Amino acid sequence: MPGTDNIAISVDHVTFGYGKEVILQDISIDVVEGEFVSLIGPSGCGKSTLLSMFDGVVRPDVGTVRIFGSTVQETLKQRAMVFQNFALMPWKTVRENVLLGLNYRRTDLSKKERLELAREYINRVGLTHALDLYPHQISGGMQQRVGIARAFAVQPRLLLMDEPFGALDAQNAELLREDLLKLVAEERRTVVFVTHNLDEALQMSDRVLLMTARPGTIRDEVRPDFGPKTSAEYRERYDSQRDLLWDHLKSEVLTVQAREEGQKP
Amino acid sequence: MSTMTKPAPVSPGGPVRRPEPSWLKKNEKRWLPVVTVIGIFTAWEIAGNMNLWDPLFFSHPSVIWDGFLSLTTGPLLSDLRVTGLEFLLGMMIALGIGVPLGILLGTSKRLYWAFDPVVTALYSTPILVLTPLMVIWFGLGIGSKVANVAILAVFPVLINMMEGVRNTDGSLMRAAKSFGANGWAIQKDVIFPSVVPFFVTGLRLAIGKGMIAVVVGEYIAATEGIGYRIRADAEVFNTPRYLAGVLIMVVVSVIIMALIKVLERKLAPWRTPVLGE
Ligand SMILES: Nc1ncnc2c1ncn2[C@@H]1O[C@H](COP(=O)(O)OP(=O)(O)O)[C@@H](O)[C@H]1O
Ligand SMILES: [Mg+2]
Repeated sequence: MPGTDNIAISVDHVTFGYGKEVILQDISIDVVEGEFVSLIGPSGCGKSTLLSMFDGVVRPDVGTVRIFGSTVQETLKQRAMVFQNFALMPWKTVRENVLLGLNYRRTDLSKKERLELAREYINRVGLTHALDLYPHQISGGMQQRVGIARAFAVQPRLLLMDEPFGALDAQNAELLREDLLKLVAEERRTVVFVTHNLDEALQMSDRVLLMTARPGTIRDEVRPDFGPKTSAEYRERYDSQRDLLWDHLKSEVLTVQAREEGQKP
Repeated sequence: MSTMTKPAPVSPGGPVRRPEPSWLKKNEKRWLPVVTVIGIFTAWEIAGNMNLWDPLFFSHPSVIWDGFLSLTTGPLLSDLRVTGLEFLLGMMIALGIGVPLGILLGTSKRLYWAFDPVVTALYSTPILVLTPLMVIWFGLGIGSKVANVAILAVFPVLINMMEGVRNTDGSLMRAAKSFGANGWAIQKDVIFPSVVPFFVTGLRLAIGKGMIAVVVGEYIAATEGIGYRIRADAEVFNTPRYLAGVLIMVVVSVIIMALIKVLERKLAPWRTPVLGE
């Protein structure tokens, strides 16, 4: 049996609901340390709920979630989150926003060391020129760079990202995707990445988990593997894996649609 | 050589620069209201000199200026001092009660449910009708005016603080918690800053109400102060001096409101874009 010391997240038969409505049903997942896992599924299926469970905002009704072998509460300092709506403090400059997590968590460091870390990560997302600007003074793409720098600056073992590029236009999303992959490759962090974009999931992940319509369960697990981009089979392999995922995702989306149609008076 | 059809200057290679707009054009927003005020005063002065009305009933700028001089050499400074003191003390009480109480009611859902209808009802009542009661309770001196300012100014502060706390963006609190903020850090880094704009709005409304409260308080029953002076001059048909008093109050409130705008920009620089500075 493989050792459990390299398991980053272990979700064991988790069920969760709001009131009477079951949102997540009997979910079991293991995420290995260093893995990039994408969660994809129709909207409202519970992706954000599952991610907030990893972030300690909601607790499972049944089952357990363990992170690096400990409880979610014990591992607060080991994870960081990137939010779809950026969630930057409007009254803080870029620098102060990136310092936020460092100031709360890294009280072992001096003020100067924290500032240096913040600067380093602001530099790595290409925002050194914007250090003293407020969020409203920079574009959405730049704001999410700040969100990413804030998360990386605390050097978490686990990164949780909830549709981080969902609020950006296609070109900015593409640019940020590249930069994020670079950062992840440089730092070998475990990432759980929620998206509604199939190509994003396929291109970025080691593993894609497809969820069903509510109550959310894991329907598919795909390990994207298309060989090098230059190879002759790349396109063919890519398309076949994408088609498979899309067929299943489509049927889940249609389920949601049919349900909504049925609710109409 | 004719200059009638001078061609646009061609800059070889470089982009064609549009001419800078003139100072007048750029600052229209600033000087147009000045023109309006000057225009009104000029027309007013001319009409006054044409004897269109009985000088007992109304007056015009040059005569009001004489009234102003008679005020400045007379009771103006001591009146302003008294009124200012009453206003400041009343505002301090309003802030001292309104701010903490507003935070409390905004933080606790139960307290909010319990008190919000009462607070809103009181806010929309013309509390000014209580002025005679304040005089009965606190006398003809500054006490009744301080109380008057306090009971009028406390509600806008209270309501805005309450709504400010309640309107704190939940996703920001969530983010702060996610990065390890404890209760106090959330207050300091999320709730207080997001309340600042509401506080400034409350303060602005409170100042407006407080100025009305102090002047009406003095107008109804007092022995000194700018409101008292206006009434005293009006009663003896010293119309120019009475109107001078009114104009002084207009000027004071314009200055105070301008200061509030500066304060808002200082306290909440993230709200008003100050690009290009
Ligand atoms: N705080 C809440 N209270 C009640 N229902 C909620 C709450 N948050 C989310 N939900 C419901 O839970 C379901 C899953 O939401 P979510 O996890 O945000 O979906 P996703 O991120 O996959 O789009 C949705 O039907 C949503 O309406
Ligand atoms: Mg979501």
